Amino acid sequence: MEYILECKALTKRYESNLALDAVDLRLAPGRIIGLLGPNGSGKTTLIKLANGLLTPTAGEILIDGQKPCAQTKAIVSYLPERNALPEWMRVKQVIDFYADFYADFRRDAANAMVAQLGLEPTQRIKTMSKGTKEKLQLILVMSRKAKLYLLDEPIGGVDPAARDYILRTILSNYSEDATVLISTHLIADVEQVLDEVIFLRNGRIELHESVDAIRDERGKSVDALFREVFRVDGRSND
Amino acid sequence: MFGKLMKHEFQATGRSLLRLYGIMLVLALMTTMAMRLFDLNQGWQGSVVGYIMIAYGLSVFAVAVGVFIILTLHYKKNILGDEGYLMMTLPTGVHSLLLSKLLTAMAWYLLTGVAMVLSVLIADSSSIDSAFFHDLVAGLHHIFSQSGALSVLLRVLLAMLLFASLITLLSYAYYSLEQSFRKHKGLYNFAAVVVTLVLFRLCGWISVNYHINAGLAAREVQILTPIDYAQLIGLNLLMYFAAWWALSKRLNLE
Repeated sequence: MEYILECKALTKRYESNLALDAVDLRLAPGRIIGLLGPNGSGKTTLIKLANGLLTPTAGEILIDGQKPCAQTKAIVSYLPERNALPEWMRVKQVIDFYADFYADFRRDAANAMVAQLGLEPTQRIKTMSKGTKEKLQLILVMSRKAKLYLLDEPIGGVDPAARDYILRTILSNYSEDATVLISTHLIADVEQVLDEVIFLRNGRIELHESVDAIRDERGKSVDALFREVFRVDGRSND
Repeated sequence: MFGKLMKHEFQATGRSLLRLYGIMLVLALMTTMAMRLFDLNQGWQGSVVGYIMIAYGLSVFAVAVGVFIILTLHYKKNILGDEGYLMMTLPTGVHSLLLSKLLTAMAWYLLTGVAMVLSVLIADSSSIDSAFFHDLVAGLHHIFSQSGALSVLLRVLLAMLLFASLITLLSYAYYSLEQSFRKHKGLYNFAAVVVTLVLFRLCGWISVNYHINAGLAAREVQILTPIDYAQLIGLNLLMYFAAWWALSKRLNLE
């Protein structure tokens, strides 16, 4: 089987801190997967490694069978946990930017979502609130018809109404055959949209299971299981 | 893809640089107007002209230094800052990113030269008349009628180009390597200074020895020789590949 994302003994060390510890992971296409874990568990590190923004200390990570490179970046749509859009740009310019570089970018979809959000094409990014910048960035990321969406904390630090908007935007824009990896520690908000979950703790995968199996076989919600797993020895960094 | 990178690079850097050029050209215009309108020998009028000329001189200096600072800081912010999360995930290679930035920087240096010459012509336009252009054409004709003048001009231009790209690439390499040594910044800065000094001293030593061995006269030592060009090209390549290596093999955008 061809995996859209594969980690083989993937290790990342920052000085004395082991962020990822020999992670083995395979993600199949067409799934919405929650990458769940407390702060500092290695979620962002894993996503950055998949985007080639970090270099592994050992092991490897493959996207559609290739190490991160220009070809994999063409099929990955990445939402970083911070605003990466140049502040001087206007909405129209940033849409042009995405349209210029990504062959799978759907300008019509982006324009429609921008209009729905009430943004003017001439509005500068630096004049927007933090929440609006996050939404605009999400609109751009989800306007691509990518094979793999890597969304790093898309609902972290926003109010419940904004979370609903963000999840609606993700669900109504991703293509069915694409894989969506959502990293978060706000389990209850994303649980209803997930097919699979990965629990990450101290750089190790604690659990990788389908949401149906957790509900049917364990008789628990993902949120309840998460609380149980991360409460056992109080090692959560939250 | 390369053309699009260049286009966006010009857009991103042009906003600040064109403003700098604008300020310099406006001050040049004010200088020439002040010189025409005010009497330099009248107390306060002479002071006004003096202050405007000082402001214009400072703006020329600001453009000369500012272009390099703006382009260098733009590289750091755009590749290694938050914007790096966007730029380094574009479906393009590191070579394209680096070369587009380098070529854009070279184009801006060229435009800076043109803007400076233009500002001087504007500032001194009171003394420019048809005789000035006549003398200019005659002077250029005289220079180019000398044998080898064109060759010297081209060599000087090439040397300027290589020096400009070397300074640019040196800053790219410095910042690109720096992100791999964030935890040992002090040590990295010290090592970077030492390595740069050793490299330049070594090049100087090779150059001097070449001149001595070739038996060139002291007068000729001032002219760049093939070995100097070879060293400049070598240093350019070294800095380029240092930046490329850091971004493609050691990237750690923390």
